[in-house]
Amino acid sequence: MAASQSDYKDRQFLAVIGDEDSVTGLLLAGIGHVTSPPDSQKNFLVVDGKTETSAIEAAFESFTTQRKDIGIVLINQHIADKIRYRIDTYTAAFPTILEIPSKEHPYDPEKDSVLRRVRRLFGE
Amino acid sequence: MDQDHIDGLLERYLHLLHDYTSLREELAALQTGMYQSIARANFAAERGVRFGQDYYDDRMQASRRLAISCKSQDQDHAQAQAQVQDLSESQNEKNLAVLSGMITSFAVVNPAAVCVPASTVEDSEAGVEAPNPNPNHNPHPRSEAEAEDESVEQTASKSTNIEAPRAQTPSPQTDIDAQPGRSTRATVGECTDSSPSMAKKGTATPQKSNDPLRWFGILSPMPLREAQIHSIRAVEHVIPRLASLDIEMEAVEIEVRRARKRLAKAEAAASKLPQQSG
Repeated sequence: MAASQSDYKDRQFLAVIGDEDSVTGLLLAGIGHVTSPPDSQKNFLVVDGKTETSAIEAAFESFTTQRKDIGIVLINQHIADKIRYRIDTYTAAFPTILEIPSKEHPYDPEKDSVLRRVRRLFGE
Repeated sequence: MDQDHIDGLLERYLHLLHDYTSLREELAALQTGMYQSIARANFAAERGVRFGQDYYDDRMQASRRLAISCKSQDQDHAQAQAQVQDLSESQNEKNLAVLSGMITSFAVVNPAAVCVPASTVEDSEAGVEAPNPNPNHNPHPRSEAEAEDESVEQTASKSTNIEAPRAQTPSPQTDIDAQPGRSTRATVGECTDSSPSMAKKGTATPQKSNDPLRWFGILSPMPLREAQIHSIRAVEHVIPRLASLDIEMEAVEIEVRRARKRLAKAEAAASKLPQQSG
């Protein structure tokens, strides 16, 4: 929890890794951002059936480690399952990872990281 | 004493857990609404048209951004305990205090909302005493605008502290923003209401074209607007609170484990003492 001010003060974007409808819906709220031309880095990744797991992993790596302007990473739970090992070993304070349901995959509380922590605390 | 402390912490933790699960349900409901609306928009669209990534603007700029506030807290044990009780009694989740270490809270703010106080500052400086046309209008625009002006020069934590409570206790302004058809452009419209001289400035700002609905054409279908309502509500009111709760619960977990460890140590010491004396 010992986050220094520089850790969070520039973190002003939400990032999304999700299927097309999830990303479209969230971008409609105005969270989408593309950085200025030389880099043109997007803060979202649309994942479909053809997207390689390595591409998802690379986006996750970029949003959580390389970029310092992202405060929350939203990821569809069924996509998070593909890189579960990465998400379970992620411990940094910022950005926060939030798994969200998708159109075809309702939210599974069994996989919810917070609820798993609750079970651990109460000794199950 | 120590056991009471642990019980207090656990009680607070369960309240947080309750908030978390209800927010999760709210998020699921909002997202379901969003997916249904997008599906309806796609169904009603012309053949071959799908509202998706083909229409995204490659130069998009975020109109809703995060404001993270995080400050250290120096409180003695008794005060912290009192706060636990306060929180459990009033169930006031606005106060995202973490017992030890840092208070972290997330808020999503719409920079376009700054437009209203900024214009009212200029109004009052120019001596225009425009009566407030909208009863829902922010009752203290002047003080807020001053605070925002100051905060530009000051630290990020200060400015985010100003923003954080506003997003969590939805002020009239955020309510306005949360409404679909009256998003960014509606806010600009509010500016022009209070001062006709601001009309030109308001329309000249590039914010006008910042609405993502415009990627999908000038006449965006109604279901897509409905999807936007759900999405804005999720992004402004649910997601930042979920993220804050996640961090807060983690901090309480650490506190509980520490307290348990202390209790176990004290018990071990107490059981050793009679053995030594006996």
